[in-house]
Amino acid sequence: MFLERTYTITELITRCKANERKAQELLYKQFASKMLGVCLRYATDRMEAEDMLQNGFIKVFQKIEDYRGDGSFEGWIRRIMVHSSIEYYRKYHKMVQLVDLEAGAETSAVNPLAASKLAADDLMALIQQLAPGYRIVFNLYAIEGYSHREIAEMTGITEGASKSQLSRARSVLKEQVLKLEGKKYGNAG
Amino acid sequence: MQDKEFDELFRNKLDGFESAPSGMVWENINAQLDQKPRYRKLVPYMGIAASIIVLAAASVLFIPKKTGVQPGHQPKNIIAKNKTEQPVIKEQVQPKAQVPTVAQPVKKEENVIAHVKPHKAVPVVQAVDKSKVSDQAISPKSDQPVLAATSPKVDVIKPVVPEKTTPLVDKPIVNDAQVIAATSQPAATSTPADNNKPEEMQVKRKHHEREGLGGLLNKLIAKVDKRKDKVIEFTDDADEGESNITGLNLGVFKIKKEKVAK
Repeated sequence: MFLERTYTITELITRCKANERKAQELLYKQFASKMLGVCLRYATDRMEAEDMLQNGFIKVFQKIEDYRGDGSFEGWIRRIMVHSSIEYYRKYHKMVQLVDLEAGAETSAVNPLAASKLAADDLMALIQQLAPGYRIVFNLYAIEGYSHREIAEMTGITEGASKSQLSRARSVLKEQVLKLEGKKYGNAG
Repeated sequence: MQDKEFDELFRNKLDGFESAPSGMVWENINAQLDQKPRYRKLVPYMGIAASIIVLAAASVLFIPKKTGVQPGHQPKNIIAKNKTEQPVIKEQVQPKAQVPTVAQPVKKEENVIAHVKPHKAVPVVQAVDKSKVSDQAISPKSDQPVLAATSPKVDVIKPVVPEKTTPLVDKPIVNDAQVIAATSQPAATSTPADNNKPEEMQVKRKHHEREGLGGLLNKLIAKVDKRKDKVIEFTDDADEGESNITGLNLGVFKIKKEKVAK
């Protein structure tokens, strides 16, 4: 969602470093929707997501003076959003340290075609239904692309716990996808 | 579907997911930004500011005094007691009274103590220390109202001080009488007779107070810490010019300064 683009991102960044409120607002408007998309994946509902978004942007404006221009700015903001969301959870929920016994069992196959027909909204809803621990790990691994070691560092859980929570997340999601496909497309598999 | 594919499914659909936030979000951010900068810019400095304040307060208390050295154990107490502890004061004064200046203070202390120096006149002491026990010595400091009151008596001190290095002990009695006399006198007149005492008292008192700080602290700490080496020890010797920490005993970490013979 762009408003008038009278400034380049670089210009906005420079002005934000100087604490120019107008520039901050424009920067926010530039990235808010995308970042809310990120936060929605980590939150249980929209309200929580907006809280995370708010906290995340405050951090962005605080840390912007440290941004050196190396690497994509959007990636930089995104990392802040992710960290902010995890922090939100650590604050209000306990990160569950699950050691799964039946880790990694393949669940029944999901029909790729049918699955891909599911709308993004559907998948988003499924993710939001996951338990927070599973949800965060799944997001970090499957969508942001972090390794288990990185996940362990970011969340404070062990690598092993990260792996097992990922498996559990996947199996739950697969089940849900199947159910959803069944409902929507009358197709069990 | 393999795990990888499954992950990809979600990634492809959700990675670029966008959704417009409500207007409230920016409003809240805006409001927070208004407060933030001030606090944030200050935070790094608050620690420094706090440290400076602590150091300033500590150094005010530990202002070095040129005046004599005093064992400083009980000066404060004595002062507070007004006369009852003179003997104690004297003892304390003695050790340090090696220098004429020291003598001065000592004398003053005795007198002073007897006299009543209810408050710790650190500044007062200073004044006393520096000057030769003259009226001026006492007056300069603003917070020495008490001393000022007794200043008339101070005059005498000068002559007396230089000579008494140890006499403190002896003096007490004498001083007491004098002190009492001195105290009873109105500040207005300062007769020679009285002068000795008041000055001495004042000087002494100042010394006591000054040196007493370390000593007093030592005393207080001794009440709580029964070990031989206290958790923290201060100099009670006015010669040092400033109250110093001479010893620290934190169990694992101990350090103690050897007293340097004068």
